[in-house]
Amino acid sequence: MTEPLLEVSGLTKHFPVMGGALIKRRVGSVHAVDDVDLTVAAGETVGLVGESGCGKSTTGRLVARLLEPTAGTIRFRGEDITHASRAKLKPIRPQIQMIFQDPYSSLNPRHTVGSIIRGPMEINDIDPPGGREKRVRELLEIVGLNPEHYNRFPHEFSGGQRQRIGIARALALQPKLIVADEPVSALDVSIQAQVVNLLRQLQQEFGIAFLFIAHDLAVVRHFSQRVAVMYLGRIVEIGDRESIYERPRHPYTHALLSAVPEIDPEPGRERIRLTGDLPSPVNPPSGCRFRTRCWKAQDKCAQEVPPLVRLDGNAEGHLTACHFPMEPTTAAQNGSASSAGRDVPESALAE
Amino acid sequence: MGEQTVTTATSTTEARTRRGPGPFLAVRDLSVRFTTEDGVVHAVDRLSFDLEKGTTLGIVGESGSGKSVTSLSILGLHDPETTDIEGEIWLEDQELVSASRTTMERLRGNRIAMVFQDPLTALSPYHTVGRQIAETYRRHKGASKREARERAIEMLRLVGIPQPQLRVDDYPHHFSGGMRQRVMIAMALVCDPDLLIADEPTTALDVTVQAQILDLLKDLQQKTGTAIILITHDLGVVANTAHNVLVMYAGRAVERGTVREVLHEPRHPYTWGLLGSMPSLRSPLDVPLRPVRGTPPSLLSPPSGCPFHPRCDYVDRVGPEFCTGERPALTPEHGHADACHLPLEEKRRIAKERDRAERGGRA
Amino acid sequence: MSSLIGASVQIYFVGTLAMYFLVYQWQIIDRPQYVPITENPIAWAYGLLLPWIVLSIIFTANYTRITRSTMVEQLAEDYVRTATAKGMPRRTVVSRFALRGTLIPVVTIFGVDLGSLIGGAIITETTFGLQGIGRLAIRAVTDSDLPMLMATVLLAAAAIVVFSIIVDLLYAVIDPRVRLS
Repeated sequence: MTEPLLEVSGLTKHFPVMGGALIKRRVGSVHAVDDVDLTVAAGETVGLVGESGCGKSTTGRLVARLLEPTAGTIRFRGEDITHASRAKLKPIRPQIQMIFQDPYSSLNPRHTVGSIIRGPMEINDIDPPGGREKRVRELLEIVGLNPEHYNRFPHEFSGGQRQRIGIARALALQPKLIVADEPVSALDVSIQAQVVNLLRQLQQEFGIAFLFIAHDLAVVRHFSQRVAVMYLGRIVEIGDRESIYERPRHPYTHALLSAVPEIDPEPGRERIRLTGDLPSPVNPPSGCRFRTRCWKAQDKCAQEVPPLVRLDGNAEGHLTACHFPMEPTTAAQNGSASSAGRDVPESALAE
Repeated sequence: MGEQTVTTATSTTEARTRRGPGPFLAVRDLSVRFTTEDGVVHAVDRLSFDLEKGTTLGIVGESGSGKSVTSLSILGLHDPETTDIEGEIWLEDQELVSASRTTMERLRGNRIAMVFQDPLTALSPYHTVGRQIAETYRRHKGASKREARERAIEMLRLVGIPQPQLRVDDYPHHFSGGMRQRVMIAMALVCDPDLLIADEPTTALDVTVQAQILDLLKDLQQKTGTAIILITHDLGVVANTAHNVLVMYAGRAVERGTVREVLHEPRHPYTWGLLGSMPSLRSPLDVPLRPVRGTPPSLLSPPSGCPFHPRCDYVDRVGPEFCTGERPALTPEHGHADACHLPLEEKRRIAKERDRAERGGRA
Repeated sequence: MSSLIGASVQIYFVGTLAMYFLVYQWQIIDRPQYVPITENPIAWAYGLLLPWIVLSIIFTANYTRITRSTMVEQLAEDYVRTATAKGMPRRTVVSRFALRGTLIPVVTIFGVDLGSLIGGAIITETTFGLQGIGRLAIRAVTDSDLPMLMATVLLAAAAIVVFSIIVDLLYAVIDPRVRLS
């Protein structure tokens, strides 16, 4: 059994909230990520979906070690990099690269495209055979840009092209894992498709693993082999693509899928409309964090945190964290919530 | 059909008499040009479309398509110094392009209302939401402070904000994104407008919140009969919320029809491209997407003839001189129309081909 | 343009020019002098008239520039566009919406200016030959008069602190987002 490329266990990140009148002290913390377990195998794409405030971006940054976890472990190719020092991380960093969401702010406007892509090589003292410049031109071609544009500046390119530059930069060090944080959300639809195709092509050609963070469920489905759904810092469901999209068990996953507007919806597709607002991550609900908006919630949900386990009827690797899971189908079920559903308790509506 | 009718707005009598029992909103040959440092930007180029009362029109396009510019033109929100507007926009029997500022001020918020994309920046941070909703009502209906406040609470309740009598005195930053957008909708509907323009109202929101807002718009239309123009880049949103669709590209209409017609029997290569770019929850897996190649056109110097020709795969089926030389008209005049030189049979055939290829990956 | 000139010139330049022309050449106004307000309020006001006018001209220039540039920014804000889209008349849009945002930088500068003015406008005093707190402070330095020096510095500091607090409180009035929850 080959060991996974990336293994994350109990990953937690709390950001302190400072307050106090005269003396600043820590009055609470934002529970951005709580107890996340995740694995990514070599060459695999794992999609991480969820809405704002779910902690997916923070998880991505933790994996790339741009942030240090409050608790939990991160293992990359068997090595524990959770609290690794800068020196220890040096040989690891080239192997984990990141692509960011905003093609306009993630490229330094004062650097030429060539120097942006060359940057990682210079910082890590990597000298590819044939020289750095040659490699940069190769990379430009791989991502579908003209190698002649080596000396141009970011502002001379369109949004989609800049995103390709960001991808070329991420490829420069031949990483084993790329964390892509909403890489196509800021792009026009037709450009999105071009970039998604490019990422797939790169994955197939170079065997790069991806942690694909996005909120667009259809795009994630298209590109990932496995998908994890996050809500308020926790993973509520994780499994292979088919299980998540065809046989989801968690109510939130159901709500997410039913909310996606479709041109050709499945006949008999259920229609769930969540009520209420996202609770504050500074004071997340006890037990199951989704319970304040869940139409199936009962007392047990407030008392016990539901464990992420494989339910009866689920495929291997399909885990769900729910005390009262739904049936494994996306068709409308009895007891599904509609927009005139449960009264939402007041606590869920604050802020 | 040659009667002379005297109106307050000066315009051709022909257009005037063709109005009669015509559509509720009629845009005729609208062209909008901006003078910028880099030159003249042709944002909208001879755009025409209709909207019937109580229906929703989805205007779809990517950035640079001119969809937002069109909506701002209907409300007259462009800077008159740098903007050159030609053509006519008729709201029943009132022409809007040539209307005076006073007339427009009377209409805005009253008969025509707009909901903007980002509710955080579109609401004034300095005033309570109650005040912002009420002031529109007071301005247009001459209501007293108390009446207006009651109306504001009523509107907040209508859009589904819990405890409206308490929330009416809150500031916008006290609300979440979805709630803020509801406030914007409440503010837009307070005077019972006949036309609501929603410019990307859900783009900045999470998908579950988006679903709530779209449902709300549909409900409100049922209750009040307001006509809605919904501007978006998401064809799924259009499929769910609109009756008719207008696809825009480079400032022009390239396809128009009912949602069924345009999304299930598309006829324009750009529409095909858009549909092929968007994966759905049921599209075949492990098949690359079929996006439109190339990049959006420059509006400073748009391509000659059909603006889509540099990115079109079917130019050679018509004869390239055709596509680069002659601008295709949006035909036929009524019903499902598109602006493409390809013959209808050809379009149907290509659409079928593409459909088969796209489904090809499915087991 | 005039605001640019106004902001660029210095008090000793304008003040001296004003003194020269208005007091000596054309003899419109008497030489500025300080008459305690308790003695003769009218003479007090008249004696200080020239410095007031000159200072105002210079400070006004600065406020004009800030107000203008901020107002231009404010008018481009999304919520101003929303107000117009609701059919609010132009003057309401400007006064109710654009103006609020403009107040913030103006209030900031005003507070700082007021604080520093109380601390002692040394150059102004020297230009007009008035015995003010500024001159007191300078003399305390040259005379090594420690108590006096401490007093003037403390006064200046206190003035600035007081006005900064007032400005902070005003922010909360102007901008609801700043208010303590």
